[in-house]
Amino acid sequence: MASPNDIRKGTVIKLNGELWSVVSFQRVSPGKGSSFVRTRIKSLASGKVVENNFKSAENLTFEEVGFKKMQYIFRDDNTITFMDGQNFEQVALGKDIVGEEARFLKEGLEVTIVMHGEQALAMELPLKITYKITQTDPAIKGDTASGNVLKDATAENGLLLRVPIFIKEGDEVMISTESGDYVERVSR
Amino acid sequence: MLSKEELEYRIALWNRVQNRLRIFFVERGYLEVQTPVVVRSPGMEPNLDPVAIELKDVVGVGMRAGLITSPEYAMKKLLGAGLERIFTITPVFRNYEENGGTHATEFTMLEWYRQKVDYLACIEETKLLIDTVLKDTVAGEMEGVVEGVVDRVVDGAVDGEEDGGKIGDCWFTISYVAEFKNRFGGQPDAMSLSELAVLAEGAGIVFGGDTRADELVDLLFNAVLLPDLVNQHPKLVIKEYPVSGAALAKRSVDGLFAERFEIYVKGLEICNGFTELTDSTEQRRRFEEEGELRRELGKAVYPIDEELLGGLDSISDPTYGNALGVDRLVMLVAGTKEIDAIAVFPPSQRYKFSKL
Repeated sequence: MASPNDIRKGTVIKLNGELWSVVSFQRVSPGKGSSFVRTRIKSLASGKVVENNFKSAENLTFEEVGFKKMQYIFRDDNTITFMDGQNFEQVALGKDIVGEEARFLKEGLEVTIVMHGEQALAMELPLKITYKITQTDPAIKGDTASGNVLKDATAENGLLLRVPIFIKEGDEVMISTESGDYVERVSR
Repeated sequence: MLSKEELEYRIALWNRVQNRLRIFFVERGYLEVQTPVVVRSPGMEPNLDPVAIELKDVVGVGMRAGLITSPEYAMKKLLGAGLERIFTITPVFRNYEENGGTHATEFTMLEWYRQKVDYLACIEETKLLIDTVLKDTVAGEMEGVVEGVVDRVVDGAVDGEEDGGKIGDCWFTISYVAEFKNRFGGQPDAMSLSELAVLAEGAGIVFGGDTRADELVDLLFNAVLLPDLVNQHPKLVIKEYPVSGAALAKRSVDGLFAERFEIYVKGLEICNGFTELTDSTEQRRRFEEEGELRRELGKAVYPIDEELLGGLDSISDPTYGNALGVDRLVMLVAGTKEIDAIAVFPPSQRYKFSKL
C-alpha cells in the first residue's frame, strides 16, 4: 500500500478497478486542516483526464512502473523525443502530455521518463534546473515599476524568467520547475 | 553556501521586513516578548505534528519534550498574567512538512495578541500590517540596510503611488460558512457525515471510510472553493469558520461559526487569527477531545498545559490573537513562491532524510 504523499508524476494508481496515470499533482497542506494531494489523472484505457483530490492519510494501490533517466534531444510539431544515454534507445511523448513543462527543456537535459511496460507515460523534470542568462538589462532607477525587486531575463533556451536585479548576463541561475521562480545564483 | 552577494540580498530583505514589523507593533503600544521553544506541552491540534525531543537534566534524568508548533500557549500565559498587548517573532517547528516550495520544518512565526478587542479589529490591523510591510519594504523606506546591493534594490523599486497594482490590490472578504452554504447547500456544521461524503465524492475527493465530518468540510472548502477564490482575489480575507474548525477560537454569540479568520495574498496562506477562547472549562474539553483524537490517530499525546488553563479565565473577553508566517511575507516582498529563494539557509538543503 502507498500513501497519496508518494504520488509523483507518472505514478499509476489503481482506482475503482481502472488504471490512471498522474499527469500533474500538488500537495496542499494548510496551516490548520487536513492535507491533501490535488491531481489531474489520465485513464490509461480511455485517455480521459479528471481532477481528483486525495486525502493524505489514506492508502492507495500503485501499479508497478519504471523510471528511466533520459536526455531531451529534440521536438517536432507534435512530439518531444528523449534518448537513453546508455543504449541510445529513443522514446517520444506527445506535446499534449508534456504540456507547459516543455518550456523548461534544454538540449541534453536529463529528465525521468515514466514507463509502463513499453509505453512512455510521462516526463518528470528535475526539481531545479540551472540555466545561463543570455539577456537581461542592468538594473536602473525606476526599472522595476511593477513594484517588486525582480526584473525580466531570458535563459539560454528562450525561457522567460524573473530574477533579482543583481543578476547579470552570463550568470547561471537555478530555477524551480514547480513554480518557474528563481531560486538562487549558482556560485562560480 | 550561497554567494556573498546573494546572502546580502536575502539578509537585507529579512532585516527590512522584520524591522518594519517591529516598528509597526512598537508604535501601536505592543511589547515584544520571547517565549520558550522547547516545552513539555508543544500542542494538541490533530493536524499538526510537533518535533519530539528528549531532554536530560544535569544528572541525566530524561523527559519527553517537544519543539513548539506556535508560541500560542506561552503568549496566553502572559495575557493571563495581565499583559495587554504583546508580540513575538520566533522560530517554530512542524514535522511531516516538505522542505522547499512554500513549506519548511523550521520557519519564523510572528504572533501577536491584544486584549479587549475581537477578531474583526484584528482583521483590520492585519490588513494594515501587510499593506505597510509590502509598501515600505518594497518602496524602500528603510534604505541602506546593506550598502550596495540593497541600495540598488531600493533605487529600482517604486514609490507607493505607482505600485502598478501589486500592493494596491483591493482587499476582499468572504465568510467561510456563507460561501460553503452557497456552494453546497447547507451550513457546514449542520450537515451529516453521509451528506458530506456524497458532496465530496461528487467533487472528486478520494477519502477513506474513517474520514470525519470536519475533515470533509475542510477538504470541500480547501480543494473545491479555495482555488477559485484565491485566483479571483489577490488579497483575500476568509472569516467565520465552521465551529468544527474552531481550534482555540471563540464561538459566535449565535453559535453558527467560530470567530476565526485567515488571509491569503497572491494565493499564499499568510496568517490565521481568532477571537481567543478564554473559557478554561471549554478549553479543557477541547484539549481532551483533541488528545483522544491524537491517540486514535496513533500520534504522540502531550500533557495538557495546566499553567495555560489556570490563567485562561483571567484573560479579557474578547481578546484577539494572530499567527503570521514571516517567511511567506518575505516571499511576497521578494516576489517569489519559493522559500528556497529567500532563506539564508535554504530548507531543501538542510536535512538528509532516509528511509529507516
